[in-house]
Amino acid sequence: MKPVFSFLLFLQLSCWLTAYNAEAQKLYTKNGEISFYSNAPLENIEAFNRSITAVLDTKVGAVQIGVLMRGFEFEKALMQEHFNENYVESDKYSKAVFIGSIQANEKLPYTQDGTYSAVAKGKLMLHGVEKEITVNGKIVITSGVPQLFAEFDLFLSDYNISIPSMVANKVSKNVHIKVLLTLDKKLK
Amino acid sequence: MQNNGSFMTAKRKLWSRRTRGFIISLVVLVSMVLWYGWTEFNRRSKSIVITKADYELSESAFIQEFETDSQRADKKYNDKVVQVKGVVKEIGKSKDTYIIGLGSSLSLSSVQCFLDSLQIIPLPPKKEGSFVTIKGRYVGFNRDDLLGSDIVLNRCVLVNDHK
Repeated sequence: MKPVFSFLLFLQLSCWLTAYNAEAQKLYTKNGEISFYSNAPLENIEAFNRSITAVLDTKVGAVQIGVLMRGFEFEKALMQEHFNENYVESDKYSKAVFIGSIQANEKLPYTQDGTYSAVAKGKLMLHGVEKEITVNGKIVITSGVPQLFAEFDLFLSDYNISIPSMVANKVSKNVHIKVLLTLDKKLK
Repeated sequence: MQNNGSFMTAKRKLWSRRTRGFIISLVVLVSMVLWYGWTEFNRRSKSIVITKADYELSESAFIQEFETDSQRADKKYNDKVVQVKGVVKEIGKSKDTYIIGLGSSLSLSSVQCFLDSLQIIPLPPKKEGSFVTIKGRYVGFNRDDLLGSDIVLNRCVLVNDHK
């Protein structure tokens, strides 16, 4: 009876330790930044959103990012209204989500300060469409805090975001996106 | 013959008066349309400072509404200006502005208020644990098993000082 009890106790302790270690690797932010820029003959369009939620599991390289679409702020109110109502339909699709992982994560020294190239691969869910994407970026580690930078282009048609025919030739069909995530908080 | 001539002249005068009136009206109308289009195109978001809040409530009541029925609450507050009273749980910094989290330190849930970057605030405006009233535009709601539930407000302004 005694060995069985010891084994069960060992198993329980292992579970606790595994759970603790897994959680200790998770870093997050609730105020990541994202901006997009679209160059077009009619007018350049630029917007910022500072309310990104992101979690990175440094142990396995899993990344999850959530963007509230209504959080994008434009210089002009009319642009913001058009963006929410006619383009991304933020009432219907309030959030964009990226779920993926950092490639060759095991080679990234998260405890060592420096700048490292990184590639993230995963699914982006936007405007009700799910699409596989690969994003090139870099990870800057300063005093043990990783900052994730990424820049990439998205084609609106890939996510069924239609441009009204009246301005179809005057608005760019793709947008340039910049992401900055400072993962300075640890999940307890 | 003379009568006919004077009739024609009178008719031409009337025409030219009518045409002139029509052209002036048209110019005024086109100008008004252009002016409206131009101001509408360049319209900025209305300042939250002068915007009356659609709803005024405590941070705990606000969070409770979302925890009870997040879809209903999201519809209710969509694009509305909300004034929230609560205790500062955390203060974060993002570029040139601050993020104030309202809520209980015992709970993972909070109201995340992103202060308007147009408000020049050189120092953290409040200390953790102090009581504040903040007005901002409702952006959305995040629910996460690990990170807790967060209601996000942006373009926030501090309304009152509670000592």
